[in-house]
Amino acid sequence: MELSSSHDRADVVIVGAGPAGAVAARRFVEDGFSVVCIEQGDWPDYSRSHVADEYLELSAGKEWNPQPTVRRSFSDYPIDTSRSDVEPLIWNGVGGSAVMYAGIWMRLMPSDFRVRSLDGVADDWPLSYEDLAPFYERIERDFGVSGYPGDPAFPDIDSYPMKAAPIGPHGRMMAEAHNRLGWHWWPGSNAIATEDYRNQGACVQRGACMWGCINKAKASPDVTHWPDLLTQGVRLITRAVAQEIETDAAGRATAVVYTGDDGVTRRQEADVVVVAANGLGTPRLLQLSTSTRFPNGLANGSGLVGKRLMMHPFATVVGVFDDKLDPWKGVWGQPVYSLEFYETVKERGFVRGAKWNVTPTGGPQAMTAAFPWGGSEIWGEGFHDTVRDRLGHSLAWGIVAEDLPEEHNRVELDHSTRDRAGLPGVRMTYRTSQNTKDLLAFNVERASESLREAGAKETIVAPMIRETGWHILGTATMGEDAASSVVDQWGRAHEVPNLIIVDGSTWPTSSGMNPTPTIAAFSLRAIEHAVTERRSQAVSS
Amino acid sequence: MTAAELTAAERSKLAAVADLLIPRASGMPSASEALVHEEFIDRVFSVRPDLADGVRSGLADIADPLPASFPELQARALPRVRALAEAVTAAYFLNPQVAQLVGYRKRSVIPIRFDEDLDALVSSVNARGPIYRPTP
Repeated sequence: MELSSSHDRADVVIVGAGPAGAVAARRFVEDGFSVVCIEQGDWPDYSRSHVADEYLELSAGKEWNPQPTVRRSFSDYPIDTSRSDVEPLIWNGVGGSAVMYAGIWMRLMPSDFRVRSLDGVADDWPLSYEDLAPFYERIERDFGVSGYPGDPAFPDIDSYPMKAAPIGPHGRMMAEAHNRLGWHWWPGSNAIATEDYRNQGACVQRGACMWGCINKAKASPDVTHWPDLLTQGVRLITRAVAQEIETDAAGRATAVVYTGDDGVTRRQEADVVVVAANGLGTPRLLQLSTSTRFPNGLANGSGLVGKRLMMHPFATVVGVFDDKLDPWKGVWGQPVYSLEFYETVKERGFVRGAKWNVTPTGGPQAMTAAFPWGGSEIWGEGFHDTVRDRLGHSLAWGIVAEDLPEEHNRVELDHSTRDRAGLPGVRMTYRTSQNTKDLLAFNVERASESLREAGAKETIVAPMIRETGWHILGTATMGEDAASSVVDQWGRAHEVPNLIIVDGSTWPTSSGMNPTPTIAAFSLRAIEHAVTERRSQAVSS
Repeated sequence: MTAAELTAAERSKLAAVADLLIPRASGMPSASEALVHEEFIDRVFSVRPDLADGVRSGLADIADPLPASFPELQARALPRVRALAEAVTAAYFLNPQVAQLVGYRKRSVIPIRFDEDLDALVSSVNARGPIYRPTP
């Protein structure tokens, strides 16, 4: 093994260049720390984007597909999903899965932090909404968020950096329907610039946010963070596979061992190790990091590393309308959203709830796809009439269901497969709970009602869709007790105090929200605490 | 010929099968009239060479005599026909004449014009007051 020379030693080494890792890098470098980031993938290549030409829908099926088992990129490690109800969607590279997300931007609601206290299930977070609120505000500036302040579903969203994107005729139609029903709705908040903003260009409403936003209106860290971080001196090592985190005799993390693109294995020594490799990659790296002191994986004294996997099962209800809506002419993910059925209502027979967002159904090719149209084949005599009915005349409610933690849902090393560096892949075991199924069924009914109120002549339900595992949470859970959690409220591993985990694997419960804002805000809070703590140590010494 | 190019025999069979999937109807040309089996399947493969094997094997699965209709094709329950159908559909909509008829070719730039009436639109939501649960 080639050892890093002493001048290569860093104050901080971060694994993962997605939102959590980029936020951590920025906060450390702002305070003068030397930072190295190890990233298994490469930069997104926007020159290969087809958002401005007629091949958009074709490219979305392969190169810009968020499912690693479809994309089969060099940077993807093997994932066995044969025991999972949901396929994980991730993108390994600079910017992380935000390169392919829709940019939907939702804070958690206060109750999301107090599920045990309010609903008697799962666990409370060791921090509150109020603890995180100031960090949300800062993160919203860093990610160039646009939105309409004042949503009464939250205590205190008083401003956004930019005005909300147009809600479009489809968003307006659903807003008016909800006003008639007396149901909550709100103009969408999105990590999409509606004017030129720092590194981001103003959105031009191609409705192609997830497939290579070439004018960089969508906030992903390869746009919002990394160009500046490189200027500030952060060393980003791409195409480098982290193999393990080393520890010393005292149980402190000392280095990350990684294999570079040249095939050479190196050690990056640092005073602090930050892991931001998502809900699959983080437990995988901890499980790979075994030693005499940590025989069951690093920071795994609780036995919970890899367990409590939560996936946000997702349903869609499509409405087909007589009116011409052309819903792709705008932001893709969230022109409007609804939190009407987010909070627990005991009489419904399940706990917790779901968030809905209006989403377009796409172009002509998408009108024939199995999702979200229920899988029935439309070819033959009725083909043209069906396409004509749907194209430009349909929209969907996307329903994100809260999923509660269960220890049997887990991520483990899969020694029967190997990645390009020879490391084991992972095996997911995930079964959707009855509570989540009941929750989804209820929300699907209400979403159908919403669309009918808006005038839909037909509604089509995709009750739970396998290929929608965007949100991979809970596999290195946070808590106050070292016996029942992996990290504390600052992301510090209970057993390894200079190991900080800042991604969604830390979540005790999943909420029903798109998680990137909270992942980023948590990372900022955790690193700010680490910076403050180290500064005080430096002063006292 | 590259791996992503079809033979003349494959193109001929593709034309026939594609017309079962997308016949001439409702003022729209059939798949073969839209040259799905020629220029436009090649354009699909230029972006998605990975689809060529699926098209080729999907065609190979359909034994002679060819079905007379899409329901007959469905009745054979051939698992790889869906991948073939999706490639044919993509090729069909790449034809500019078809794109013009359905009113969609590609996404265009639309400068943002902000909604000016959101205050009025959300007034009834605001009137109902906070909907979050305060927490300890």
